[in-house]
Amino acid sequence: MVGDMFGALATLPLYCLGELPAPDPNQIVLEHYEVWRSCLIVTREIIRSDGSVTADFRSSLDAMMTAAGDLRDAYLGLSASGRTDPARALAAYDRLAETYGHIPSLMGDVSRSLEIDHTYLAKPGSIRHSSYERALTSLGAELHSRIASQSRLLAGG
Amino acid sequence: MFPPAPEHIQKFLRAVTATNPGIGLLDTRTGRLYLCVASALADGDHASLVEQELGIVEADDAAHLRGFVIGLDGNSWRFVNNSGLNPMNNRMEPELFDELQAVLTSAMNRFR
Repeated sequence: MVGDMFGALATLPLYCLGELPAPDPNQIVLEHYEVWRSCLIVTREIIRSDGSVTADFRSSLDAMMTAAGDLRDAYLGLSASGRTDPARALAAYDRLAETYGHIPSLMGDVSRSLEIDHTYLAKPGSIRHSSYERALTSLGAELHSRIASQSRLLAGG
Repeated sequence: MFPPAPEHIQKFLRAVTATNPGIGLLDTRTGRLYLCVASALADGDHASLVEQELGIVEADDAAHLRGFVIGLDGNSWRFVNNSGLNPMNNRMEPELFDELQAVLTSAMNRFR
């Protein structure tokens, strides 16, 4: 699930900004969100049936559920304004970047509350880690560039 | 540059859709191109394709790799020069991108 959350950075921004054509980019965002949400629900139910739910586990899983919703809303915000209003899209991007920044720590909390290791998280120096960082940085740069282009057009018009 | 083997291209063409894009990889040392639909990769991204096809995990070992995405725009291909593998703001060198589009379009059109 965490892999899919970060892996989505390879394609979801392209759909949201219109670089990849899709009949309904929002639907693609919602399909990813359903995967994340379903994984969290399944995890919660497995642990609950095991009878070993702790307060730490419950709160860390709730925080991950909130983060998944925040990612969904940020992508939907990008999709709504990415092609027409880059300044507004930049606000969605800020939320996206902030949420992605929290996820490793949130998943660390989930793992600790379950007493499992969290070696599945991308490590600094790995292709995964650098790809995610580059994808986020370049998305921000693209939006800034679109804002600048729009400003130039308005100034010239 | 060398396109993927015909059986890989046919498999890719059967799976790619407007909502299940192609994730592509160019190995600039060998000239080999790799293609896979996002849904068939562990995390749906270029890092997954690099691990799957080349077994490379460390970013320092991947400087010779470039990534791209292929979408479907009606009956046409939409190649997008964008990947966290690429060095210049997610973009690869334009001449490489132009060449791989020509090579892959020709290879894929043979099976359509």
